[in-house]
Amino acid sequence: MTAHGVRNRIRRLRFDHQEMTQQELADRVGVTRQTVNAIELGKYSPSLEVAFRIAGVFGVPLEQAFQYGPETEPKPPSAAGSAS
Amino acid sequence: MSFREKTLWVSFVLLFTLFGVYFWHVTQVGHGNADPNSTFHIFLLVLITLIVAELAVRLVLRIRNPKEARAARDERERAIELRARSIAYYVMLAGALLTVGSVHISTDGYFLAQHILLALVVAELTRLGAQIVIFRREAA
Repeated sequence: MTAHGVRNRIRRLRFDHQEMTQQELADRVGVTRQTVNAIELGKYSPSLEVAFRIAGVFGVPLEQAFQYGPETEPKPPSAAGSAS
Repeated sequence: MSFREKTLWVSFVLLFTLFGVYFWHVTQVGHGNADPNSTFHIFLLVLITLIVAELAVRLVLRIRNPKEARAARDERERAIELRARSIAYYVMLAGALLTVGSVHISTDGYFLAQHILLALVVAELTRLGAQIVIFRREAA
């Protein structure tokens, strides 16, 4: 979980979109490259407007780009196997 | 380092250095080693040097980073500036209260004016310094 509780998949989405650079994304969203970097690192939570614009650049719904709340830990395989 | 950070560093270093020289002169006046009548001339010299040096360095930075210099501040940069202003406000408030307190020690108008100026300079250094710190913290 990040300091703000807002997680994001921007780095992954950039990679999936022809390895888009932070600068390219920043230019399309209308912020600085440093702001994109701070968002990716979870050091800055963007406004709703910027969050929607980022999701729009990748053509995904907001919740695919940003999530809020504690990270869900994957269940260990042994626990799943013993239950059945 | 971004264009905004560089301009903040320039402003911080120039303000600190030039007003450092000015307040060193004021302490010399306090010790009786300098003439208080020369203070106004030194103040004017510091102010003009500050404006000219800041304009010159900012011009060089603009020529080197034309794209970043033209871009308007984004929401994160505006938020950082507001946070820094908020911190600097409390520093100025403390400076104002200390100046009022200093009246009980000395009512000399010369030093009262210097206390007010010192409070303003320290508040401005805090505003610039806070922005630099927040920018660095969010970049790491």
